[in-house]
Amino acid sequence: MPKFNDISDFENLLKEQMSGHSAPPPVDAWTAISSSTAQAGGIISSLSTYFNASVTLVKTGLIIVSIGTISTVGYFQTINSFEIPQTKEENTLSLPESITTDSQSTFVTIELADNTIKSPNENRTSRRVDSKKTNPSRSASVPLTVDTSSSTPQNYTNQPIKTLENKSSTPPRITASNYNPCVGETVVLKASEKGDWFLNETKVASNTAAYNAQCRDIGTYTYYFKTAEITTRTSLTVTEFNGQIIKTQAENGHYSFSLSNQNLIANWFINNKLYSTNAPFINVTLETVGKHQIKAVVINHPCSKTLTFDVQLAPIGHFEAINIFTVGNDGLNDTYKVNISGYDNFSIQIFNSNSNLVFSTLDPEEGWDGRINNIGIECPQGEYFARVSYKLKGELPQIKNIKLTLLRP
Amino acid sequence: MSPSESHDEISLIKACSNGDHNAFKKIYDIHSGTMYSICLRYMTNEDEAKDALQEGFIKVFNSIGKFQFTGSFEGWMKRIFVNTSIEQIRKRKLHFDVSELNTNELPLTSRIETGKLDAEKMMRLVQQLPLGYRTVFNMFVIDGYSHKEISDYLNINENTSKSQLFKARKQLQIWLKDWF
Repeated sequence: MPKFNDISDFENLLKEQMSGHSAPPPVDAWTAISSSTAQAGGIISSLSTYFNASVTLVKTGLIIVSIGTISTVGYFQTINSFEIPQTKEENTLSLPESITTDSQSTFVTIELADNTIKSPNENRTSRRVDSKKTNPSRSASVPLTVDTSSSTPQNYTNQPIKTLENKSSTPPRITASNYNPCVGETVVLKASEKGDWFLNETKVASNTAAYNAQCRDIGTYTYYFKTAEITTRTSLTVTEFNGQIIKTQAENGHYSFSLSNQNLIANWFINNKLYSTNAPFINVTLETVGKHQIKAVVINHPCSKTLTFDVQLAPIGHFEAINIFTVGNDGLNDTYKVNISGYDNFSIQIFNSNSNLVFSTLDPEEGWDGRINNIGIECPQGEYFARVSYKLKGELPQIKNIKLTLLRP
Repeated sequence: MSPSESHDEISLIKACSNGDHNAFKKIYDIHSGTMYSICLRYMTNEDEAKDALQEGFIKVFNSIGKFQFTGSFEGWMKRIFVNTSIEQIRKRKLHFDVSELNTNELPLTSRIETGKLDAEKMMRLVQQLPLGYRTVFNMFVIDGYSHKEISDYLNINENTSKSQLFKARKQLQIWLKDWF
């Protein structure tokens, strides 16, 4: 067993193990990838057919055209941008003939670099462009027709144009005590300020920074938090544990127990003694007659649960003794023996009333014929004691004292 | 990688950037195992890892034309899968656990089984770290991101990143105490 001097030894080993480490991916993963990649990417040509960039401006200004994608973290990433000074009040933007995009979600954004306009949203327009779309419909005119003549520009002079990037970082943070709760759990939703809480369309709480969400059924629940300025949301996925222990195999006392869902792993106990950890199934040999409790504490499910399974082991062995025997060749109880099957150990000793041993054997098939050790003198009629020690398979050893009567014809 | 293999890879990548779907399938077959391993390390369960794997490959396909042949192709792909995993974690609103360390023994530790501390066991150990610890630990220790980069990616303070790493290491030390 290797020893680590400090955590960096572990980290180095881990790094080494992980570099090039390969795990077989789920078999159906490719199907989804294949269907989504068949159409993405390419060259968007004739941009003007997607984007009617005829712009009517009441006020002149600098126009910025940005072409970009929504990045992995939800920000608008500019691929290309160019500035067009707009000197005339009405003009048509000359957009490039084509742009290359690598994404299905390419956005062309046209914005005025003039921040004196009424609302920041009104001087910006975005349109998603699907690459390789063969017959794009002509878009509506870009709503850059902004009338600033009636507005009061001085109020907004210093307000920067809100970009998507700014927007995505401003919502109040809402946190849930648990995003993957179980049925029956109560989740505390907290916001950084007071506001109203909605579950889908229904208002569930007003003017509070915290809400206790009761999770009654499985499903995904989207909670919205609204303040005067902003709406933000979070989703809770309520799950329930469904599963059981399955006895998959049993022969000759060898059992195999598994969990009904193959992805589950558990710590396993047999009769409350830890048997195996971190295992999807166990192989067990059970020998003792009687009830055995198999317990699995599921550890990789959010609604972790303890499952039990009882195994009843039927007796294998059998023991029966009579207490009377007649010597003679009448065919009935001619020798004394007990009936035993399915045993591990056996011995019988027979004593007379003076406690002297008259017969003993380890073989249950060998009966007592009424003579001392089956060879000596015949024992008289009367009372005898047989002491039988035996152990049946899967059971505890037993000693039985049998009072038996010897009858002679 | 031998020159011929690397030549193969270059032609595969070029075919793929021209939209050749069969070439992409070949790239998938070669690299999906390694990439799935990365996803498993970052995500909580196999379902999430599968989602990240799918999304990552879609991104690879979409941006393979951008690959400059300057560094290793696998390294470039790895970065995409790490980013995709982080993006998914962000979607689920990563919150950083400020609670005390769990000083209990790892309930299901591979330690009980002793023997070799192999890749699967180590991976399982990392998977059991709380989400915040795990993400930072994965990025910093295994995938070699700096605290600055981590703080940018996860939109957290650099000090938060450092403290998460510190806690992750502490937690692992507790779990691995018999190995020291």
